[in-house]
Amino acid sequence: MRRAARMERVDVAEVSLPAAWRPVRRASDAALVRAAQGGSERAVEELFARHWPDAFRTALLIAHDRAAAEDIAQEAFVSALRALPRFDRTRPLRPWLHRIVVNRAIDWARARRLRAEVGVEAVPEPTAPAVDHGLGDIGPALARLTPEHRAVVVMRYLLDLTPGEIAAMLDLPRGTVNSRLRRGLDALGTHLDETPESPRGES
Amino acid sequence: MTERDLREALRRVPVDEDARGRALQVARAAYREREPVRPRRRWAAALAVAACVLAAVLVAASLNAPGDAVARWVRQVLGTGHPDPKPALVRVPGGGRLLVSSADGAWAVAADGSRRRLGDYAGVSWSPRGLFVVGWRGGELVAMEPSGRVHWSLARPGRITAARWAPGDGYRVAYVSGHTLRIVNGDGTGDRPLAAAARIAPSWRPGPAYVLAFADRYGRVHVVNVDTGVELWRERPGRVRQLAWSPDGRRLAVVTQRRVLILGRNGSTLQSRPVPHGAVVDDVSWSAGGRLALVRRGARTSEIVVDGRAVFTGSGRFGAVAWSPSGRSLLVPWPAADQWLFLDVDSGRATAVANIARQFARGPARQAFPDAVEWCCS
Repeated sequence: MRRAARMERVDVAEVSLPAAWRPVRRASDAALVRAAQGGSERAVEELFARHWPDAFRTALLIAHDRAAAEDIAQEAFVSALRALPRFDRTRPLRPWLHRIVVNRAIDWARARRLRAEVGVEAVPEPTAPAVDHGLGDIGPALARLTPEHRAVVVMRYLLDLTPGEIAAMLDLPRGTVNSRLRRGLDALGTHLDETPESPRGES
Repeated sequence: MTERDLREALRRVPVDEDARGRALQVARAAYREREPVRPRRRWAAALAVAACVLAAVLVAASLNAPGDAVARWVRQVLGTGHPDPKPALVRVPGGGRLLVSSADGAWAVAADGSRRRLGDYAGVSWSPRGLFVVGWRGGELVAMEPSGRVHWSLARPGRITAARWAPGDGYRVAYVSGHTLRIVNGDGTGDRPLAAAARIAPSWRPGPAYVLAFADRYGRVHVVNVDTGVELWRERPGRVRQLAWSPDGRRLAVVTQRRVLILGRNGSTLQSRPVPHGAVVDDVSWSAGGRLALVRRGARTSEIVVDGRAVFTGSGRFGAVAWSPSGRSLLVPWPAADQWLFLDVDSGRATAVANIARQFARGPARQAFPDAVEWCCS
């Protein structure tokens, strides 16, 4: 028994885990941005993995078009990466990135509304079956909102931004954000036959 | 629905894994292609001053008689112009007819060198057998004869930036209006949108079906049968500068900022040639026999590359090149030298024609070098 115990102690002391297996503390966005500015592609991949899902969902929920959402989120990342060498590391990355996504998605949705003739769907010949964009039950209700109202709802309830942060990102007065939020929620509630509870502590 | 339910409903929206994979590839590429932050060069200012002094000396030297010799020497070393050019275009070497565009309008040139101004078109392109010309200016698209006689025209709200007549029977014309790719029948009927697109010229695939390659604003190339609306394939090579199908319809040349790709009929990558750092490929063109010419521009010089071999180098930039109908020679517009070069790509011999801007001028005060040429059938 004593011998076995000694063997066990030796094993523990001598085995060193590979670096990849060691529990590591999650690096902050700022640290990853610094590493990416220094040339680390792994840092870029980590930033991508961290922010892509919300960027894509945000674009999809505002634009309501899966192909456009892919393009919008991708373009936002490409813009961000091209500007990376000049990025001010004291600023948080996430709001900056999502600001690009939201504004592009709003622009895209507005443009589609204004120029309905643009796009393959306008071709007289059948091109492809109607696409389900996978938005679930919330999709049809969101589709009834304007892109501007969709944007504030998505920013508040998907990205968990405060009305103040939304106002700063969209260059809008805070009151406008609150009213859009209220109207958006009312419209959603009407469509879902159930008014959402009043969000508290948001104004 | 409570606030919490709404949050959960939004979070349940699935993320497309294929899209994530594609986007990660593009993001990696964008990261690798980012502009490096250049350290400040201590000697940059001194070099700039030295360059100014040298330029001033050369200008001063060229103002006196011995200076003429210096100017000639500099001209030859820098290669601004082919020696012994012909003073005027009195015939098209190799035969055939030309369509010429400049910032000041478009012209049709007959084999004997005679010119006819077609109008203030921003661009023009031949129909497959050279019987008609499609021209565009502002939001107007015009089909006319090479004599300038207009057959039909249509107007769109968006600015038209390119138009191409389908090969074969020529019964379709594709054009880009604003950010929309549209199709119109060869007789001007049936104008319709096809897709959102980038403002670069689409390219028809030679063959019996009306198959078109075009680029969108997100760096994707689409190949679509325009009559059925079926997309045959699409690829994402990055921001596209130019597209060109080979005459046999088996290869599609795709020029991006960083690469020249040769894609197969089904979209597979047959070749990927990187563009050297600091260089730009301004134009690609296939000969009738399937040889590919590139116009590659560097910091000070440009070169013509045919099938991977540089056949001509000159200072400044070149315009869009055009192959002769026989596929033996190449017309190279050379604005810095005010010349057109007719290059025999096999022998390397060149015939130069000078004073091009003056010959295609609306008047003495309005001279714009015509740097886009299409060379058509005899």
